Amino acid sequence: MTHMSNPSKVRPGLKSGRSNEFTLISALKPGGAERMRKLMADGFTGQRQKNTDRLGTVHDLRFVIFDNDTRVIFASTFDGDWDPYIDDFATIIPDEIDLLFHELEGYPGIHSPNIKDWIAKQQVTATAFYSAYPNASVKDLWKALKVKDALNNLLDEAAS
Amino acid sequence: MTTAQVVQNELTAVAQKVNTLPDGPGLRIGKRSVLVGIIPLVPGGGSKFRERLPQFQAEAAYWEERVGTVHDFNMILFDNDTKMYFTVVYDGDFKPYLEDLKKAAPWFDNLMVGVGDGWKGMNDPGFVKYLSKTLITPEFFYANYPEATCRDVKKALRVQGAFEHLLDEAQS
Repeated sequence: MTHMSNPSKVRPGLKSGRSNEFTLISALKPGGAERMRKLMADGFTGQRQKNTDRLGTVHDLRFVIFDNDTRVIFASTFDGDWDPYIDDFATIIPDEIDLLFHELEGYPGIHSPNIKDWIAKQQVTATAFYSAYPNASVKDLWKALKVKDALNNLLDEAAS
Repeated sequence: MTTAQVVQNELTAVAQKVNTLPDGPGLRIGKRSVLVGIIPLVPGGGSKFRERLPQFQAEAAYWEERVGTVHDFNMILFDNDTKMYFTVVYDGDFKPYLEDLKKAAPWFDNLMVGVGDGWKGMNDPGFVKYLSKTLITPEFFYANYPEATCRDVKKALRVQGAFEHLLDEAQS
């Protein structure tokens, strides 16, 4: 289930080429910091990591707990537009998102009709943003890295 | 980072191994590291920061190219412009990164002197100690293509461009 919204709606976040920054700052529920730490202790494992890879648009992301365990920052660098990014969360990794975000105060759930409004309200637009390869998407990079490896192998074979 | 018990199974066998950095705060996956910090601003620092920002943003590609190991970097003012959050995704260890970072000292100092509370300049002898106090190790980090350094990525994009050009020429 997705929540398509008016694509002309102005969304927060800065863009450089095809790369976007996404930063959200939220209060945590009482005791939420400790529960989040336990949950995140070993990063995304197994299927969760594969599912995040399947998004195919996220370059990197991080969670930072601060202010004496009362608040959290979620920040990522992703390709494309804001609405498809959130829609992908809802369709491809809804369980992972609910698991990671449910300790945030007021989080309505990824399938809530209010999810986009809630996210936009928590989001803080960066003042400065730099991406080393802003015009290359994650999928472009996967392809380029494969081509480079294939050519290296070809040259190795030719020289052997 | 807290280390809770993980049950090893077929799912964890393909996990991204997240490590703490050997020489500073932050997390690492593959060759990729993440650095996060919150710097308090002096009163009025937020507006000065915003005044200086267009020049800083315009020079970003030049200076980061000199540093050479940064994939992405952003700065965010929050809490009514009283604090600045920053995050950097870069290659390798913390201390070599700090050395690389000094190549861009004029760029950062032009933005941060008189803005960041206690920021005296990147070549100040107390700078590493000052910066270290602002850093927070994230609880969680995910990186796509984590084994590729920034230079690997740029090279791969150049190689692919050249390869496509070669194919175009061969077909023309």
